[in-house]
Amino acid sequence: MSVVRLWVALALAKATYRGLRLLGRNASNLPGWLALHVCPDFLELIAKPELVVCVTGTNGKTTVTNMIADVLVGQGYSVSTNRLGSNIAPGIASSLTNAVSWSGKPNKDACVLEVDERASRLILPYVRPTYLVVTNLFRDSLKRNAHPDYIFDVLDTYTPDDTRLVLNGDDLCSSRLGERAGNPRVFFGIESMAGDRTDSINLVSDYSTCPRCHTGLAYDHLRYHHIGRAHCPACGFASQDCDYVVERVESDATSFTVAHDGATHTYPLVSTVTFNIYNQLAVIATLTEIGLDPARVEAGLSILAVVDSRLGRTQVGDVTVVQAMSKGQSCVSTSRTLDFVTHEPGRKVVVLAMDDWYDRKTSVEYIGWIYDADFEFLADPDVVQVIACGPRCYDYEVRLLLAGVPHERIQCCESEADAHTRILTAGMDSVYILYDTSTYDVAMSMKARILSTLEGAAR
Amino acid sequence: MKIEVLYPEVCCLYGDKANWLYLQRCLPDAEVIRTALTDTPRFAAEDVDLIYIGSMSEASQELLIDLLWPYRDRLREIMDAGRTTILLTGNALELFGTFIRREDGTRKEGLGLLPLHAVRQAPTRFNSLIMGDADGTTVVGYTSRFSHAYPDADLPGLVTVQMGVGLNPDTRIEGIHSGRLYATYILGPLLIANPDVTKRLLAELGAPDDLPFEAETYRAYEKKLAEMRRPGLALD
Ligand SMILES: [Zn+2]
Repeated sequence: MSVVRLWVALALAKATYRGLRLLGRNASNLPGWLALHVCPDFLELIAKPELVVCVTGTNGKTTVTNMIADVLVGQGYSVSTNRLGSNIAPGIASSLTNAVSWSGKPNKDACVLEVDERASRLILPYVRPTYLVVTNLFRDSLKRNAHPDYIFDVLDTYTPDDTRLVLNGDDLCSSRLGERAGNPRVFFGIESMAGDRTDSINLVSDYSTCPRCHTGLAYDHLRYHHIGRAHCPACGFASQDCDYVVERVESDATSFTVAHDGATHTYPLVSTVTFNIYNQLAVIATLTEIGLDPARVEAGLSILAVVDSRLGRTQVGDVTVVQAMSKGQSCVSTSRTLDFVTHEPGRKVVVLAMDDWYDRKTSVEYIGWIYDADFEFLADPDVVQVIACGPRCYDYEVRLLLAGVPHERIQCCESEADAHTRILTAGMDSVYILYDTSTYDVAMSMKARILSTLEGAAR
Repeated sequence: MKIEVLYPEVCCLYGDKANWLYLQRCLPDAEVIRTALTDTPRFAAEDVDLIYIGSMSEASQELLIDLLWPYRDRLREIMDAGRTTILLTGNALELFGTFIRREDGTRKEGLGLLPLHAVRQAPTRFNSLIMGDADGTTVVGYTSRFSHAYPDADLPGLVTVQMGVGLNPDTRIEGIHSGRLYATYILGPLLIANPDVTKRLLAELGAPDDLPFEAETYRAYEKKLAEMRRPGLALD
């Protein structure tokens, strides 16, 4: 019976895919959705290519998925991915459909799948990936993801015991995945970087105590939040030894050397943002584990340019206006952006436009997350003005005042449409507009208004 | 003035840390004691003026019950003596109950200081805005949790909910106010979001009730209150 159901589901999914493509429509979710509707155990029953790589984690999973898939394709593999589809069950089912023929036989060399960390419990036990890459685990939206311990438990419980794990050895949370079940594991990490510290400067620093004896951990070095290397002064617990190690990254580096298995190899560095260095390291470790030799990995990477979609720059006279994605309701993503913006050279105006677009229409956004985000960075004297926008602007004002931003530098705008009337027109080198995925359009029209205000002032 | 923050390394989820950092701003002369997981609590041997515990993971809840287990009688004595304010936010209130029922049906025995028990239901997450009355003051807040609490006996509530959920979906009673113990499922910067509540708390502690950036704090509160009163609001 289940064979018939599977065959019907597959035929329906494939026909839908073909139909949607003929109509020029996005065919990356509906076929999988239909397949799962007809055959609820579709993910388990459908045949898979010999190589299935799943990528999950709080940040960087899209970048890592795309890079792994692109390098494999560049090296001659036929690959199915959910690049255009969702990272929950329907998107995964669609990608698996594209990796088999009408008769259900695998016709691709590999599937490379981005998997939502929370939805992983409905995917990993059935897809049974050859490799699972976990970029990191951080606090994210409390409504959906609760806390990183919860996501850790979901992944640890639902990852098959024989899946090979590629883990960030510098993440004191996700590096402990698979420990209990004894999964085969490899770790990647960065030995030292320009800017390393041994004390935390972030409000959120989870995993600061020993998982065995609860003593406060001593950091050998710390990058941000809980990313770094630590040991317990009481019981000897320490961060994982890494199999793929970058010895040192300078802030102006264009390449980096990875030590693995007694040999070293130098790769082009596609981005110097620390997050992206970790992403690239995850890609190198995974591809090497798959069996690509370092020269092929290097060749594959050298033709990739990481398009940093978070940033768009426009010059008006002497002022650069930059839009920077800063995921709302995510304290870690926002802290990373605030850190980055504050440490850019020159005097800047920072416009906050992260108020959730849907919540403002139908609800009142829970704003407590801003007390886990490091707005203290904005107390820097080079931040000459902060404009808080949206219905929660007065909450941001209180947060900024408590963070030490002087009163006279703060402006509140209940509507983003008014921000250009409050902005300074002189005395700064750049303007940063921080927006959420849901406020992209709002931020873009705000940027246009700000640009014309600054153009008027420059004339 | 002594403020004891219990186990801030783990009881710091969802912006709750802001509550004690804010109290520190309100009471610049107070001694803030941050008791680590490996420390003996200060309240064990001497009176403190305020004990605070914030939101934590479910695993941390079970660890905290074990850590506080030897001090159950002392905590009972402190609650009865009425010289110490105890403030519990988020799921910290569940530690003080009789037990927590896990998803698999097993139980973790609680400290037994309040007649209520909690029932976890992960992966189902309950999210809700809360607005309600606490002794003539309108309290605004948010809860996001895997569990509900069920009173085993009549319990004096902290907030009568006008919008949102109480301790569980079948009650309008949110939180517990017993003597000088204030416990609420509301998480995050409760004291910053509710200036009237903070003023009362400071008065109970015998401190001046001036708030840092008082005008701006009230403006944010009033704006949120007006939005919360819009009809047909989505609560989650
Ligand atoms: Zn230890």
